[in-house]
Amino acid sequence: MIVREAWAFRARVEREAAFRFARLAEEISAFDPDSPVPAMMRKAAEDERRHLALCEELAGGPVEGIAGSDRIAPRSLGPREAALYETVAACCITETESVATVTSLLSEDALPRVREVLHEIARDEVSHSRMGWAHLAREAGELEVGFLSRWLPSMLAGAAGSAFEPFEAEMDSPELLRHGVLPISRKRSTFVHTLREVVFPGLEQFGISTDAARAWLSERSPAAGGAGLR
Amino acid sequence: MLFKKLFKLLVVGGAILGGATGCAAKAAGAEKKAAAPDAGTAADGGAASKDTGGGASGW
Ligand SMILES: [Fe+2]
Ligand SMILES: [Fe+2]
Repeated sequence: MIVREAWAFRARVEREAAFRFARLAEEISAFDPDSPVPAMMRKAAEDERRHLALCEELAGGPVEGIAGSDRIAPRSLGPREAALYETVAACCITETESVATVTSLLSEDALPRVREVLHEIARDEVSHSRMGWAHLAREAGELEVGFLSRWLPSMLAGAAGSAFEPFEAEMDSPELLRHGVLPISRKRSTFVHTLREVVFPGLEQFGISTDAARAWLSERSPAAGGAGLR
Repeated sequence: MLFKKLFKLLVVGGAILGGATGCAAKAAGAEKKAAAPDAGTAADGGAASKDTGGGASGW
């Protein structure tokens, strides 16, 4: 049950990402026509539609809807800043986390079909994360990107979903690994380590302060633990 | 170890794909930059305090 629900949720995540990347490709090419990023985003939108079908297969059937909301940028931002906000949230944070999650799953003994699916997805997620860092690198030369600092906690909250909430014991079963799902305690530690060792240093490299983001994370995971068993 | 590799593969690799003009400019500190409209000066005044952002759902 947990396994099917997890893959169904992923199917919605993939659909949400497909919509977002297709839209961002158009938005970014409007103000940065020489950027290689829009082509990467269009390719990513196609990848996500393929991932959607793979996730539906492992969920046991068709899945409707999207996981969150398509547009996530604060309304006060101008179009260029909003596109940067979404790209950082979706690619630099969420896709980077996806790479770490899938890599972590692939280091375990999953069922053969699950393994095949994870392999296919892992290959694509690497370029989805990179296109975010590519766009941020370009924009850091054009805009004052430090405005993103104060929005990082909102981005993290959306990416974490229910990961730090209390959980049922079955959500932490090592048996989940065979089905391509991380037990919740492992999911949390992967999420936290990826932020502290990849995402935060990456953002800081572009002069974006991560103080608020680090405070947000410390509140939720004093020792990378978070809330315990329900 | 894994995370160090991910940093190089994703962050460094991505910045290079972007053309790295941003990085180089940043390091030099010489590029002229436009201020982001969100430097606390939202056009809709009072609504700005209620302005919220979200995140992208992930696996
Ligand atoms: Fe995907
Ligand atoms: Fe992706």
